[in-house]
Amino acid sequence: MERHPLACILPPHMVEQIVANGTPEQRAKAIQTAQVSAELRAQRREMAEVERPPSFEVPAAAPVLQRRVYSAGNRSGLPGQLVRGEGAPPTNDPAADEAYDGAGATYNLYWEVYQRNSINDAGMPIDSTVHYQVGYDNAFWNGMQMVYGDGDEDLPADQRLFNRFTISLDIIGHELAHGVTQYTGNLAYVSQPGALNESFSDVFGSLVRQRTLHQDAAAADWIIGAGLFTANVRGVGIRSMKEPGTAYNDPVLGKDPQPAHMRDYVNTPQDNGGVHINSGIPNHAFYLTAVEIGGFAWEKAGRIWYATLCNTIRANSNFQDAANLTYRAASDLFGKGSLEQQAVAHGWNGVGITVEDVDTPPDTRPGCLAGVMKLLGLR
Amino acid sequence: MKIYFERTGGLMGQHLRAEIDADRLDPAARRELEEQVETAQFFTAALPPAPPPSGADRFHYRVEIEAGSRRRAIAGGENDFPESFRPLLRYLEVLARRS
Repeated sequence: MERHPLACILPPHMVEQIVANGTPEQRAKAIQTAQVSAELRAQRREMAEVERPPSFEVPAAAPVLQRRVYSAGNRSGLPGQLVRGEGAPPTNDPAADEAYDGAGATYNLYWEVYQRNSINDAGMPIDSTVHYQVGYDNAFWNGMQMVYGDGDEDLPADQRLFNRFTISLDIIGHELAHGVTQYTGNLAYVSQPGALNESFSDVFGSLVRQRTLHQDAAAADWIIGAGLFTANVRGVGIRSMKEPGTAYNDPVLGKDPQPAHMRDYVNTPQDNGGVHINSGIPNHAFYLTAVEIGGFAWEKAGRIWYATLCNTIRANSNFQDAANLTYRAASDLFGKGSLEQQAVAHGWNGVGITVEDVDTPPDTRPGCLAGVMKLLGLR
Repeated sequence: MKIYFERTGGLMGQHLRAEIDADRLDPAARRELEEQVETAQFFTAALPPAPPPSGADRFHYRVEIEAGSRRRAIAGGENDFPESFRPLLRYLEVLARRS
């Protein structure tokens, strides 16, 4: 699915706030923006009707969490059979309940911290399918929903490497974040843009887990996929944002191949140009930034990365672009020369990238919340 | 029968690769492998229409099998393979872990 360039629009409650509290000029701009937003929502509804099966409802714009968890019954059909809808009691199926709870925790991070209403910022239902295929050691975002395998459930216990993929909250957050990226920056899934796509998913996946555990940046383990490996594996997870390249070193799985610095960047045609390998570099830049800022990583470092993803990242952005754009976002949010902006520079410098302070921002994406807030002089 | 198998991508980005010479397997393992290939209808099954790439963290495969005069090589995303191939792919994944 191609990203619609106008997928990020001003939510109605924000318009109401501006109309109530803004200056006459701000009110006029907000009303004008609201009119455009209404047109865009109508376009989006039309798109959704075209792109989705007829059974999907038109998403509501109100910030209402709507989760649907399906079971594929160890087959390949999607979405499968509905096993738990919003508000329904637990199923006692760990995979289904983890998918439900994890989607809720992820929605809450985006809504309560960043005021984003679901994956598309327009209340899109969050659909998850568990028990996908047999022996499916993976989880993925298919452009419309999240899908989770049961790992190595088909093998004898002493040969199993992977548990069910819903077992790690950050994996759920990772997959849902791919949906958010699709509706915002829509980074191309290849080479450095693809590694950034993967990194944004790791960042927000980790933040979901940290927020749920109420951990600050210093206390967090910064592991992606903790609990995913069985006891047969020598490893703590699939990636480490704190120490890329150290998450596992196992006779069967091999060694974690992630670099933590540009000097170790891996040029490879595999994995879409190493999107899951070189993501270690921006992952580590985020970690360094968050630890230097201190406190809860989702509050400041996460906000900088989210604003960048929503407002200025482009489909073909590379690591240098991401460094420059997060540096600018830190200035917009916390002030030029602020400790937060300095932390961003230090974070990228720690992975071998020197930020370039470009004063002229790229074309601001019309309708993006933070961009509009800035335009209206409300930040 | 000779098989080349490669899987890349996925959430973990793990690279699995195996070259299998069925003649070097014990008779039971060789028979099981040949049955998997036949059940999948590897040499004859039609490939589904390739959907446009979408989403993230999907697997990509490359499978080449040569058996006597029959030979077929297929590469693509997991959606590019017919459903009948899934047990064979899983079988080869597990073999690749051991190689």
